[in-house]
Amino acid sequence: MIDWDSACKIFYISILGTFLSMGILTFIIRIIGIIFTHYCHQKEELQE
Amino acid sequence: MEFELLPRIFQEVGIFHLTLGQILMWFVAGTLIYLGINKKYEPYLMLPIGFGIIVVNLPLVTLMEEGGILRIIYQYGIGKDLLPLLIFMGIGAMTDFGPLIANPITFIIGAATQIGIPVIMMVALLLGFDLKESASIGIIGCADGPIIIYAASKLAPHLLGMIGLAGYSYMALVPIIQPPVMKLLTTKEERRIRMKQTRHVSQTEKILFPLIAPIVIILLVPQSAPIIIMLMVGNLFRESKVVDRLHSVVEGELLHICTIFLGVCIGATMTATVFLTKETLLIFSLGLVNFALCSAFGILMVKFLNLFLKDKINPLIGSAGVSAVPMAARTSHILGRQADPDNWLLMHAIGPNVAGVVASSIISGILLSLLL
Repeated sequence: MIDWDSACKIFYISILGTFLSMGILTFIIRIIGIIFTHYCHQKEELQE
Repeated sequence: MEFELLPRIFQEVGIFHLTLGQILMWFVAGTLIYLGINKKYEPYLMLPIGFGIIVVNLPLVTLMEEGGILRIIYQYGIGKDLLPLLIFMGIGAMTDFGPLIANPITFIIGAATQIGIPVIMMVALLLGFDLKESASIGIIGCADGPIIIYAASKLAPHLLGMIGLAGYSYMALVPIIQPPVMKLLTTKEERRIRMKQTRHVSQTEKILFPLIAPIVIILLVPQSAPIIIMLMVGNLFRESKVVDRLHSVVEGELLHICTIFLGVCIGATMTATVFLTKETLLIFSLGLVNFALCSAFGILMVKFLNLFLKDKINPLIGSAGVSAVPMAARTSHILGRQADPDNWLLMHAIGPNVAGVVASSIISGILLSLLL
């Protein structure tokens, strides 16, 4: 007997959990990227 | 005396105990070794797996029984997760997360390719596998050998051999499986899309990534901790540039030693009675569909993202979200160049490719936490 209720919960949680984790990572890495690009830009300007 | 000797000979001499199934398994092993040597299909794994299959299908051999050398290696190496996790450290040491850091939207593409895993899990359930078996069959689609082994050894150890072999076989067949799916889901115009050159990623960012990513991931999915930590510590060795000897050992000797033992042990789980069943055929069929499906979800996600993005992404890099590094990225690059010979997609495709490694660690962690 297949426990469809559990299977459906696992289906949704695994997809949502993966997207949530990867989404948060995207956001954090994007922020760090913006900070670093800005910082490198400023450093270059100062050197000039 | 003579009358006592004859039954003894019958008991002790292997040839009298040889079965048709064992001979068939030698052919399976021979095929894997042939593919490894002649076709170069994952030779580093096909050779030890093939050899393991031959050894375990010799009559009266007790290598995989209690106290046997392969059993001991299996118990500690795979039963206690040592080998897949050490291999994952090697993968971390070999992986350049730079293209992913430069273009973080590719994290979402890596996540999208994992949708195939729960979909195939549901199909496997319909075909009569139980929940844990179905989940480990689904994980074949993530195309990441150590993760497939890690999850299967916990969820369905009795299917480990078939699942591991299916995973590694299809990883070797990425250049054959993916192109028809990629062509089917994209127009020639889409395949010609040229992507903007990614920005330069500084050394500090590359060092910060293996420190920040595990904190974020483990806070959300604690079950993925062993995999993520090993991946990121290997990557930290690589990016720090101050522990060259550790880096070279982890991505070289350690990785190779673990691969030898992992391959032989996986092969050694495949006795004729376990392998020559209807389940094997189903697992291999589901694995193939799984690979195609995961690739398709990646491409469809890129097409969806393109609806909102100013700088369009070439949908071909979507299929690279399956984590067969760098084979899947290379396949995207080759198809891109077929449509436009001056289009260089390789570095763009490495982004979703390594994102797939991270995403598959996360989804397997989620499945393990829900099912164990």
